This record gives sequence, structure tokens and C-alpha cells, in this order.
Amino acid sequence: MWDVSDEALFAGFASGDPAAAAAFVRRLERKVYGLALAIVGDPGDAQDVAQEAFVRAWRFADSFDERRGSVAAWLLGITRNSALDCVRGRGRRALPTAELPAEAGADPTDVDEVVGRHDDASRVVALMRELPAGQREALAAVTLQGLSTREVSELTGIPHGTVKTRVRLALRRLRDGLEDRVP
Amino acid sequence: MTTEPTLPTTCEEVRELAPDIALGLLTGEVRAAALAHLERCGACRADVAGLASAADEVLLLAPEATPPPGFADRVLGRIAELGGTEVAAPAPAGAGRGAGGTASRWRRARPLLAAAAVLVVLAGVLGLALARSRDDAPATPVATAEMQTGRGRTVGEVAVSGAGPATVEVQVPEWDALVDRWGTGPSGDYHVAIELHDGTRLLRPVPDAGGGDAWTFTVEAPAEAVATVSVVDGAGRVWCSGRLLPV
Repeated sequence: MWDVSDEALFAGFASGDPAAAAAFVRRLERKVYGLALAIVGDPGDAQDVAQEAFVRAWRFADSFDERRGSVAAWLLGITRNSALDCVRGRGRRALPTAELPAEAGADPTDVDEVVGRHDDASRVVALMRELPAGQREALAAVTLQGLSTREVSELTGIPHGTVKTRVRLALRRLRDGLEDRVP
Repeated sequence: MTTEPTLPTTCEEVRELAPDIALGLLTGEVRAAALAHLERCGACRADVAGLASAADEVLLLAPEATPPPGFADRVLGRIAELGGTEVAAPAPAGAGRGAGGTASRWRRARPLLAAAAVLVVLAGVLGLALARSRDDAPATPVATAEMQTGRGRTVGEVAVSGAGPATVEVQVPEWDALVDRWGTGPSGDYHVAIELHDGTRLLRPVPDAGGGDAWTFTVEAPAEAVATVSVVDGAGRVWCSGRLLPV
């Protein structure tokens, strides 16, 4: 029904077009809620976080700069920040030690599994695939699960300094790769 | 802080920490020292901004999950509620279909919100002008600019005065309400970036919520030296900006 880009729908969302706004929210609600749930862990909190992310996106719509990335990525960045606010506000959730390294299937760092779900993220997937496994997992844990490097270290038993180095290298490689591939 | 024995002051040290800054992993005095360096160094600032955008792209790989039924309607209803409340919009004359009942109110509210924002900006500009007229000669603006978002929406004004040190007055009338309602915004830690014609870039923190929506800063340079003033978030992304023109 809505064969238009996320950015076009977002423009309607920002300007108050009801149909475009509904389509925008419904198109991205699974991504936003999924990330919120991955970070906060509780469905009720995740729903609050996801709602707040959309509302923040509406309030701060003018700050979106499409030259820097997709609107979906921008919205998810807002979602991550909202989720981290939630987690910090109530105290860090207790994570089972089995959560890292994650198991295949539900593992956000499982690139093969991710490919099937996110055609629109194929560029990032390809770059993530090129990263050494340790770097990829560390970066995914910090971004997709909202963990600090110290928490990753405690959960995996990998020295904190090593985790930090892996995250830094991974993000730099990813950034360089994204910049190289921008048309 | 036991793991960060030295505070970052050089480009090399800040570049090493740039991914941590972009990911929001730094805290305390290390973060403050890094931001202080970013204030002076456009290259490091651009580095952090690029890394922050890359980090956002990773989030596209997040696992998806289906929210509870009615989630989208609640989101749209909440936004409609906020728009209606903020501009005291009249209740919709007739409910639309489905979520359109609230959404149509929202559609009415947005132009009103924009109009209200313009009025507030104008009031702020007039306020600044009146305040200046009552002040002494040094407050006479040398250059002014509208603060605009990347989409060209005017959200405030900036004025510079003084032969050195210059006074930079920034007013973003909606800011206080935004901070009151949403904390530090989508990326947090907003600053005012003052860029001089010689390329020097100075970063000043935006006051916390409750600190008002008009901010005054002093710059050790004549007013004519100020080229642009922007409000940026912690990752260096620009929220609004004004390029100063002589009065």
C-alpha cells in the first residue's frame, strides 16, 4: 500500500499527515519495539520506550539529517538512548551470564540470521560480516543490547581493555566501510 | 575512573576515545575532558559525528518484535495529545475514521504549533531588542541571525555584540519546553557551538532544564569575528544553526 521510502513517510509523520504518520509508525514499530525490548528486557518498559522514541522523533524531526544516514537508523538511535535512560533510571537489569555469547537464532550478532530479516540493512550486514567475530560481538553487545564495555567484560570474562579495544576497532572499521560505500 | 588514568587532551588521545564518545560510553571527567577538546577541534568532532552515525546504522540489525496490539494507535494518539495540549487547540469538530480522530486534531494542531512557535520567536526577538534598547551601548548587536533547523524551520535567534570580548545571545523559545518534557533530547548533552571566521570553534553547554531558553555567552574575540552559532548534541549533530549577518 505504501510503496514509498521511509524518509518520505517520515516527512509526512513530521508534518502531521495522519495517513503517512500511521504508515511510518506501523512500518517501523517492530524494529523500534524489538530494539527497546532487547535493551530493557521487560515488555511493558519496552512499550513505553518505543512510544517515547516515536514521540521524540516527532518532536525532534527537524534534527534529522538524511546525509548522515537513514531515518530508520536515526530513529533506532533515539530508541537506544531512550532505552538506556530507562535502564539507568531503574538500575541496570540483571543479565543472565548465558546471555553472552548469545545463541544462534535469537542472537543479534548472528549475521546469517540477520541477513534474512533485514534486507534494508544489507550494507551494514556485509560490513559486520567482514569484522572479526570478537569485534562484531563486542560492538553488537554495546549497541544492540545496550551494555557497557565493563558489563560485556563481566559477562564474557574477556578483559575490559580488550573489550574496549574491540568495540573501538569495530566501530571505526564500520564507519570507514560505510563512508567508502556511500555513492 | 581507575581505568582511565589520564584525561584526554590531545587529538591522538581523543581519537582513541572517539568511539566511546559516539556510543555514549564515557562518563565523568574523562567525558568532560573529551568534550572540551571537541570544542576546539573540528576534525575530532567530525570523527565522533561519523562514528555516531555508524553506530546508529548497526541498530538496523536489532531483532524485531511485535508490539502489543494497538501500539501504533497509542503512539499517534500520544503525539496528537501533545500537539493539542501545547497549542491549546480546540477539540476536533468531528472525529475522523479510526486513528484519524486524534490524528486529524494533530493535523490541525501542527500549523497552530508552528504559528505559535513563530509568535514565540518573534516575541523573543522583540524581547531581545527591547532588552538591548534599555541596556548600555555594548549590547548593541553587531550581527544577528535566525536559528534554523536543517529543514529551514526558524526556531530562535542569535545576536552578537561587543568589540571584545563579544557577547553572544542565543534564544530558542521552545527549548525550555523541550528540555522539560524530554530531558536532553534524542542524543543528549546539548551545547552551543560558536564558530569564528578564523575556524576556531568554541563549545558552551546549554543550561540544564529550568535554565531558561535564552543563553548568553562571552567570547574572547570581537563580535565581528563570530561566523556561525549552532546548537549541537553530544555526538556533534546540529539541531539548529544561524549564520551571522551584520546588522
